[in-house]
Amino acid sequence: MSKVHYFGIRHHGPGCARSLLHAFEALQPDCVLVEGPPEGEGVLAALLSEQMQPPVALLSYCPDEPRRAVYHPFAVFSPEWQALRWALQRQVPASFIDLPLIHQLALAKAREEEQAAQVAQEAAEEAPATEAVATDTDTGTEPSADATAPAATPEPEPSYRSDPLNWLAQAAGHADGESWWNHTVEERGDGEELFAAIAEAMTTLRADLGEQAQESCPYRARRELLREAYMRQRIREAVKKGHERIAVVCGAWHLGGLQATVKASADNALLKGLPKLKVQSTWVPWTYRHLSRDSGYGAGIEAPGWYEHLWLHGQAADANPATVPPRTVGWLARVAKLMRERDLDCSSAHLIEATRLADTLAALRQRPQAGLEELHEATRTVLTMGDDAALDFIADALLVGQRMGQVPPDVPTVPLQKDVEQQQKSLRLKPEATHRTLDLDLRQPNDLARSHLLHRLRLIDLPWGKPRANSRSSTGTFHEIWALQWQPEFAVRLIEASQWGQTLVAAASAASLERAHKAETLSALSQLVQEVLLADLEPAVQAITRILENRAAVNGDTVQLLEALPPLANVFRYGNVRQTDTGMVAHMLDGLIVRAAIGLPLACSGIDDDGAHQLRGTILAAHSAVALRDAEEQTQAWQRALRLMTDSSTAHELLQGLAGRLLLDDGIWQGSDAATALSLHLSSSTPPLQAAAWLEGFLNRNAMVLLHDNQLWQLVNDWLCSLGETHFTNILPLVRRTFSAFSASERQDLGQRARQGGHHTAASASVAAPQWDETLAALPVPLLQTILGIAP
Amino acid sequence: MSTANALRQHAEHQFAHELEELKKVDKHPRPANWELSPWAVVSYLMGDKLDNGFELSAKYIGSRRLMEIAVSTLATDRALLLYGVPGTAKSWVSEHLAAAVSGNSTLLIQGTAGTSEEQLRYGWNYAQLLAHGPSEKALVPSPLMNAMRDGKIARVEELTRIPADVQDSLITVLSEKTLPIPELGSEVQAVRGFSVIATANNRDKGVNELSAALKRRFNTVVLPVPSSEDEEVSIVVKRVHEMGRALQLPAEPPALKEVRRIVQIFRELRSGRTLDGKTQLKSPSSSLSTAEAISVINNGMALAGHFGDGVLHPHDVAAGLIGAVVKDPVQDAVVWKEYLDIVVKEREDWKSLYRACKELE
Repeated sequence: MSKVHYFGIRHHGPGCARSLLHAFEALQPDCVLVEGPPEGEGVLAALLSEQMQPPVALLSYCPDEPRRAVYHPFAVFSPEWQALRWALQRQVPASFIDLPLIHQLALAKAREEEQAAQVAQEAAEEAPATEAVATDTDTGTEPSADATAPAATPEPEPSYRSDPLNWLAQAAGHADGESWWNHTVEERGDGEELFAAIAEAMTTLRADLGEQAQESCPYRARRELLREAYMRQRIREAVKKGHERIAVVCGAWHLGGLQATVKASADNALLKGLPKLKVQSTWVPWTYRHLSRDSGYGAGIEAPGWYEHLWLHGQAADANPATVPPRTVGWLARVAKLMRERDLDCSSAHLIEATRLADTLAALRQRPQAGLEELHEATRTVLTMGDDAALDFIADALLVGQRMGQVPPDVPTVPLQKDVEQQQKSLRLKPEATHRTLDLDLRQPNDLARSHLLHRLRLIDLPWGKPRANSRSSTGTFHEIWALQWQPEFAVRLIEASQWGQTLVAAASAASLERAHKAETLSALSQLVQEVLLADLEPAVQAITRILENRAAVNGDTVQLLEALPPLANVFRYGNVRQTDTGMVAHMLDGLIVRAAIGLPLACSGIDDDGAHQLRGTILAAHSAVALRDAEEQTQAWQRALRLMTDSSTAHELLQGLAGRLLLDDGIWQGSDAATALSLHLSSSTPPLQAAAWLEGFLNRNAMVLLHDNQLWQLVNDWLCSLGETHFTNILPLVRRTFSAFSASERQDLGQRARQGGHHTAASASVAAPQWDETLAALPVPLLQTILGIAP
Repeated sequence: MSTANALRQHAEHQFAHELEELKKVDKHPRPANWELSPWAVVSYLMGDKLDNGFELSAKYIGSRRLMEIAVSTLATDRALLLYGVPGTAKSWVSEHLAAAVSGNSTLLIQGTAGTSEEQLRYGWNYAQLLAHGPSEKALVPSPLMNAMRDGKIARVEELTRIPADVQDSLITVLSEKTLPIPELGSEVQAVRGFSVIATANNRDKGVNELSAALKRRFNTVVLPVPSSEDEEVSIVVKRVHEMGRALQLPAEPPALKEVRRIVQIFRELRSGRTLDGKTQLKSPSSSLSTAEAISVINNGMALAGHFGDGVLHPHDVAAGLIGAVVKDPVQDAVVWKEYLDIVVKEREDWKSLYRACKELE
């Protein structure tokens, strides 16, 4: 009997995990070797910690280039996880034996550089300049994906390799490898013989595929060779140390490679002189969503929820076979719970029938127990009336699940990560994988600090919280609503961001300064000022404001100035709630308003229709920004600019009209001013298209002015009636567009008004001035006084 | 019984020899009162080659899993509701299931807006009732009652056409498996093997929606429209071939090309775009099911056989085609004309069909 026992497994296979534990109990190995990065051995002890809750991932990264990072995810049902725990609990030496990441990452880097060099060379030689840029960016993204993906999926991509099981499944008459494997391995309770069977199948498969099994990509082929050579070396070492029963747990595909008879010297030669990079490892929390196939990490299982159920049920059955409810029932009970949570009807009677159907289906298909497919079919047929939509509704929670892992606080972290964790703890803001809404009352110190934390994290590109627009007007300026969802990859973002600083404040400040220097437009800068203020980073605010001021001084583009106003005005208006000092912002805002006001009339001249339509939105936003600032001098300057625009003959008609309307709304223009302007711009000598544009600007998507001012109504009415047929046809689309922006009720009122024609207006004017009877009016006064609580 | 002359034979007669052969080799356990085991029923529906070399023809072309669910449902004494758009072989599947499970597909209640409770439960022979008072003799049992007595499958067609209050009389039958006869102070208890297959049509959604209580007593299997063009062509060819035999059509079996063309027209109009995905089309109000494609071809074959040269030509199918597409004389006519002039006219080898259709306008 050989000293080395090989256990070929499928990563994240609950059936494998269960059988593996049985096999370990029988074998009692004195040394456990697991396919995985040796760098992780330093943090293996954490595995037994109470606070270690899978799913978690072993994150290995280069401290110098945190972008180069690899995750090895583990769930509670991962065979590797169970093997390691088994060994650690019994003080059996356990180690990871895969090719160290210091080499793997260095190889990936070398390849990346080689490719980049190749591309650059090719570009220099033949491709025209523009194309070269395109190819460069293409390959620039590819290798980085390569660096993270393959190691996270210990079974690499190409079709036949990604699931060699497909071949076996085909032979067994199944549609795909996943269902075949589930059926034959994961959903059964076999013991140790399972591994002999797997080993035989996979070795045969690998031998039969022969040439085909060779990696088509030479780089990957070499890496596979190196990995297997290294693993063989480690197994030899273990034998040499005198262990009697060595258990090797590896991906089933590698069995053939590891058991191959290769001389130690050959492996030694192969592994000589590999490049190296510095690598650090730590544990990070993981989620089932990232374990599932559609997350892009390719860790490769479709239904972690189902696997968890299989594992838990298997464990319960091993512990106490007599009292465990059947697997089918347990699963359907989960379905029922989820359906009820979503207000879908589901009774126990439904479950009884669904269970019976699932079992009958399994029997009809000659299976000992209902699998996931049978359960799905039973659910659809009995519970949802054949409706797939209801099933899709719960599928995510059912199959993937929201479970998020947890790691003990003492695993090594970068200082920045510690800082953030510290703050999360003190602010009682737990990272969770579920989506939840957080309503912060900024008058509370704790909530304000939470808001600062979320804003700071956003500045280092870690969007844990997404601000939601205050939809209800009832939530005033002191409310802030966030949508929170923690993603496991945030852990690596934190490590990436640690290049900016070792505390969150320092990192966020440095990152935003960098962004300020790179910002191309003034509006981006003023947006940044707002973000930085929200994050309460005082020094950064000062620095960025200075940058903004300097840029504004030399910037000739009024549109940019206008766009920069609204975010700053927001800061000024709402800053007080956040106890930030807005004096500096106010100063800068004032300067910007004056500059913008000076440039405005010119900016509105000589532009085409599209430009004018765009500018309209900008001017409206800037106008409300000026109103928010509410400073006398600035408001006057702005109104002066608007007046200039109405008088200017070069400004676009749409904007002239708009300026007139803004003046009218602000009470600078009287009704008579408006009437004069209207009759001027709608007079018969004005080209109808220009007149219509002016009217559109003046009405400003709001019909009230027409409805309430007889004089204006009359003017517009007369103008329309005086148009010749050709003119009318010309302006019809424009006027139509103008009117279509009104609300339905406004349009209805306008229509009624038009039907009544000019005659009625005279009558309504007389009604508007009723007889005033003072004795009648005095009657309700005492009652009103009582209601209002005013003494008579 | 002279079934050979029947216009249309019941499934259990038309495929009697297949059922006979299956019974011989069927070694699996059978639920009480079933003619075949569930495995054999699925084989009968999907077609199979038996161990003794006998070939079973496929009755349902489509997903085997759906048929397995349907058969499993019946095996667990649950009522089965087949649901889907018109013409997706719901009644067809229901008939063959009943034939294979009970050897009898005739215990049928056709649901209509006028279906009454008597038709569902039992009625009275009034002459007997007046002469002798209520008695077993005066009772006229419904197919459902007969099925319960004999442990067979009862079929209810178009369940959602039946008024809601009448539908609900099924609840007791499906949950208690009994049909009380208060007039006689007795009841009919269902014998093992009894079940109900109902069909319903989702175009009728909301007309007589099933009550929640009744819904709960049915397992629902949704029958989809054929998933690929090839599948649909093979369904149409097969059914036309079989119906030609049943209806004694004199024409030769249709050229595959003509069938393909009809199927393509139906698919294109149904999906609102041409097969190459390049042209957007309007969809007519008609449902354009596979069943209608079959009837267009049959119609055309009859024309070709009796009035033509026995070979299916475009002008033989044109009338049936227009009839199937244009159900609303105003809107559908526009859709059809557009389709003719935009799509059919432009296709090189469709000229003859175009001319044939134009002549009929």
